[in-house]
Amino acid sequence: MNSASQRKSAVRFISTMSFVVLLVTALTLLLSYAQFGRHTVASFALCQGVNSRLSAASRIFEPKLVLIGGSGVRRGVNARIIAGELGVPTLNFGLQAALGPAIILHEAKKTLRPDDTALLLFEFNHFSYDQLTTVAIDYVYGCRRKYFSSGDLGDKLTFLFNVGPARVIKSLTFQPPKDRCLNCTEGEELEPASGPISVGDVPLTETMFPPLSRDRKARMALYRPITISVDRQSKGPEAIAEFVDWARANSVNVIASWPNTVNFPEYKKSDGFKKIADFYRSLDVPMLGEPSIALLPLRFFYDTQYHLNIDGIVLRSRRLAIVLRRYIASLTLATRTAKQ
Amino acid sequence: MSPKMLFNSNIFLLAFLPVTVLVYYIVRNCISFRHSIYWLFAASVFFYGYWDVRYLPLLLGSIVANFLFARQIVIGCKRQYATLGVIFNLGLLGVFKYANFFVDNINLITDRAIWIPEIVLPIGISFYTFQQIAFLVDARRGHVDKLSFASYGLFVSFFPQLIAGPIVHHKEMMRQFLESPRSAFIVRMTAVGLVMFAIGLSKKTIIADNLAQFASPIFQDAQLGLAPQFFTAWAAALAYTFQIYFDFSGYSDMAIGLGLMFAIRLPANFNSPYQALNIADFWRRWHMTLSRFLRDYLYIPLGGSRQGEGRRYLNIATVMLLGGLWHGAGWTFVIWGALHGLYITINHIWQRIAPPLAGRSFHLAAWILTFLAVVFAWVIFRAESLDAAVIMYRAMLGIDGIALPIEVRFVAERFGLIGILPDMSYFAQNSRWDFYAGLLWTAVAAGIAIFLPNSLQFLRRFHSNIDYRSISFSPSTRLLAWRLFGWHKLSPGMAVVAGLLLFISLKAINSGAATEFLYFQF
Repeated sequence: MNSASQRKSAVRFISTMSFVVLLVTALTLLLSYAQFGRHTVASFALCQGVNSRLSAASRIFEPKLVLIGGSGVRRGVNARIIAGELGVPTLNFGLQAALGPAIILHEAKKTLRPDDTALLLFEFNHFSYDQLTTVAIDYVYGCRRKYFSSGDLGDKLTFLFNVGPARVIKSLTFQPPKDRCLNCTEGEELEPASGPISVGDVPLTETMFPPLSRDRKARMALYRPITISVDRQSKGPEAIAEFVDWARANSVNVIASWPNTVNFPEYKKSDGFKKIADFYRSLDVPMLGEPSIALLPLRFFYDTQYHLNIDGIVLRSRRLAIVLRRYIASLTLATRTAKQ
Repeated sequence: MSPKMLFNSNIFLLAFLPVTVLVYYIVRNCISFRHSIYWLFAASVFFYGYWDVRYLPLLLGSIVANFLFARQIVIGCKRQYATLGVIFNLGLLGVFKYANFFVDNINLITDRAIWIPEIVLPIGISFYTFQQIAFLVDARRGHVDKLSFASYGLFVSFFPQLIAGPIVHHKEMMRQFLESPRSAFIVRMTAVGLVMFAIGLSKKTIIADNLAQFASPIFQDAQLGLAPQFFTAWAAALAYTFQIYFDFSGYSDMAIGLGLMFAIRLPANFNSPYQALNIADFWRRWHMTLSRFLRDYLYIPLGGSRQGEGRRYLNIATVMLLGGLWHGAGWTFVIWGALHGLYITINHIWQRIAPPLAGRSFHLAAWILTFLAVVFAWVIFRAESLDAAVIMYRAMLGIDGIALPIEVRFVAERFGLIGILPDMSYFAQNSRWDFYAGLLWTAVAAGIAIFLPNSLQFLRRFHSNIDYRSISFSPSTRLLAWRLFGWHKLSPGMAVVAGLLLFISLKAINSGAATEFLYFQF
């Protein structure tokens, strides 16, 4: 092969390769962009659930306590018990953990007004959280285009490159349920009608906690301790720090406590709890109680190492109410001392 | 904080690289080849400064000082300036890489509390310091005649290999900065470089990063004091074994590919190390440019094998210990080096005393033994502390009992495995699918690393574009690479495959935070 034809074939090769990269990238980005506003079954249910809680929260006009986290909060703490114990309106704003702290906190901001208190109860994996999950992608494409628009170029590229073919197919076959609307408040009532209001709880009824299969129970009995650590460079802690800054600027009080999980003797040796406490201390966020208030025996868990059964939710909520009451008392004392 | 300019980052792929290549060819074609070398030097300095501008003076200072030493040596003041130069380089490494380690150990032994500030390791210091020591030694030996500052600066700082190698030798680099290849040849080199880069990038982003997600939490748990199960520990050790290979060889492929985009050939660094049949063979295939450096500038000057068997083993032990210490200032790296020194010594003794063996079953046994020895050593290399390594080894040896995943209960009971060993039981992974996906990735990576030809063998047809001197070819790899995959010419099919690999890598890069290469920490 002479040098002119060598050169020609090399130029053709580079052009073809560049064309393939550009073409596939452009098609992917276009296809992704077209997904905005299109729902799947999962995104519709998730968006509907969050919207109804946001709507219910907007009808609470007194200063309130908002419990923020993943499903460990939704299926681990009862706002009604806490509201009853403290006499403060309480919102259970536990969303799906797979949304990640950035999206959860983005939504939580919409529920918060000046003088509200945000109680952060993030799951342990949120402290070293970087991955964008399919749940988060599904949710943002379904109903949170504004969240996409608010991100930087890197975040936008992450969303645009990660719409899988599965979502495209699911969105094409999705039919919105006729009996449910996306922006209705159904399912989330302010309760009770009188006294401190609570909203967002999973009803503590047997129908919401159907018996698990033997296989599932056997698996749970063999669970291993989870990794407890903090990676401050990861997106989870970054989102929490950004939220704390926002809260300060908007006169929202921020406190934190431990997520519920299965107790293992190995945790006594772990310095992960200290790292989490140090992280919150560095943000000047009070950490309520010791890790032990949220570490429960396996018999109190329902279907994962974060989800509690009815007995577990009651026990956990009472324990949390005790540390919250102590915190409020210390605040009252501090205010009185300051006045004197 | 600005994002780091990794090869697998958007900033590098979409901004730095296209601009650097474009300007390079404009300068080369419109001004002069000499000026294109200046441009590459400037771009490399910018690349390094973008990481952490605080360490830029250190790199530039080191280049200037070594250039001045070399000039004095070339003029004729050989001995004193060569010694001074080597001391200067070792001093830099001592301060910036080993000072904290040595002081910590002195404090531990003497029960004192000597304090020095925590020194952050300047990225790439081990690589660029070694290259410059080799250069001074060769200048002292009279192997260097011409010296130009721009060429020397680029030889040290050329961005594709600055951070993590391959460790290049001046003989293979300097002449490339002085002579420009023909234009037709350059376009072809760029095309081959793009393919090489695409292969390397996909090795890192598609394979190594997925293996890291599986292995890292298990090693991290061990560091936190949580013992893994027997099965999990082995899975993590194997996953890390392939992670480090795909990570580092992926980086080396990218470096070679990037070099070719600027018509510069870098030496090969990997040659399917997990196909090695003995440990000496492994070291001829793993991080080949480091092995070459240690052989030429440490092992042979120490006497090599010329002074009897006892001295030879001592030399091997010394070289491997220092090789371990080169990887990091920590006892885990020293022990890793010592372990490999022991392996090589045993290998040499075996080859002296054992009768020559051949045949498939012998080859299989040799491969298994070599592979397991390497996996076993990677555990202490990866562990963040000796305690974590002990936890991993205890689990791998089944000292705390052997548990099987609950999903295999049916099979285990069917074949009566339970009860064979004491303390045998089951365990369940909290995230079952992540665990099995991790195992699947490990199996895929093992298949590629052990059974397929490596990237350089795939591209063997382009031998005039790639430095192949140290790559071996068996008839089977040739057959696979040429016939089965048909990658023997710059065909449209190959362009489509390489383009798709680049796209999939770009997609993987944008699935979360870009991950650093493992060898950046050394």
